Amino acid sequence: MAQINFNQNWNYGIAGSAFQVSNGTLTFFAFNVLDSVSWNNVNLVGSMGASAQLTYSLGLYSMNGGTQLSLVNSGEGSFSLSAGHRVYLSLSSTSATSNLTPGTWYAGIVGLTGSVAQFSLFGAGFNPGNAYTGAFLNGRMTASTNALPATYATSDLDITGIDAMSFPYLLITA
Amino acid sequence: MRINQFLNIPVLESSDARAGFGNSGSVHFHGFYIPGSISLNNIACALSGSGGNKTITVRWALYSQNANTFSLANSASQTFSASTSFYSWITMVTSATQDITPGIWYFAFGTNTGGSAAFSMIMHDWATVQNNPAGVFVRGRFSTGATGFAASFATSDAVKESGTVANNQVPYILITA
Repeated sequence: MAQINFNQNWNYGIAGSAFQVSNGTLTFFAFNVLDSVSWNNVNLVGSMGASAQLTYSLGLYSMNGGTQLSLVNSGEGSFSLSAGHRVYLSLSSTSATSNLTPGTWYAGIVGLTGSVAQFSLFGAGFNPGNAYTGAFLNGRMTASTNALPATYATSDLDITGIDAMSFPYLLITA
Repeated sequence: MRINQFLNIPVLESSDARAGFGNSGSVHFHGFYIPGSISLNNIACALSGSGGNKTITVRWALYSQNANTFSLANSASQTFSASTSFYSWITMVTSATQDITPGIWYFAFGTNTGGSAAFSMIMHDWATVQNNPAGVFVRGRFSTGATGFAASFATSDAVKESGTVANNQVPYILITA
């Protein structure tokens, strides 16, 4: 397969809508890599309602057996956000060099927001009344955490609710 | 794999009309992944407007990137005249026959106007971001002169997307074989 210099989960950049992620909540979502791309810089777009410090970790996961997520790579960043400002939350240092091959991968995000209850990620989501059936798409842990697990069973994730059924815009660049 | 259509923003909504770019030498420049080979036969965008006599020229170009340089691969343009309200596809004619291979390509888009200049481009809603993403250039603008596209330019000459929604505006572009 060819090597491309960036991969984004949708073509039209940052959506105007945002969804909230609670402090200390781990959220997973699927994304497709269209051709091989270096996992050098990883970008989300976020904001906070009050000026505060956001520390977040992002993990790259593969899926084993259709039921278990396994950590492949990770990065962490700390950002001083002004209230209401929409910014790229960019990670340029990851735990290992990775060249992503085409296919479906998964990202896990956990953010720590101090005294602020939540932060926002820009993307898209919706909240149907029933759970999605089929291959794992996205979901969140029900228990609080401050770290990325090495492995996690998708059956232990909550896959309903707007915070579980949302996809942040994700831009991976070489 | 061959495809016979590519729409850069695969969610067409009639309400996505934004104030037009006007008469400008600064073009909007965005990278997209095209998933299959496609013949660059028909390039279309959509405009809307009302009011007095106007002439609008839409200009589109295709660039590839190699290391630190963007290189012009093809271009297309069309001049459209209107004297009453309109909401129209504008189909542009390419400068050369070309078969695009799968991968990342960059679209440049600009307009020139005459007469009653107000019009709107059909594009998706954007959000202004305070800073730029880390890594390679993905979207933004660059200056190319009033009517033309440079044969090549440095990636460092492209302005990334932050600071103003104008850096984030991307019209719907439909390529069909």
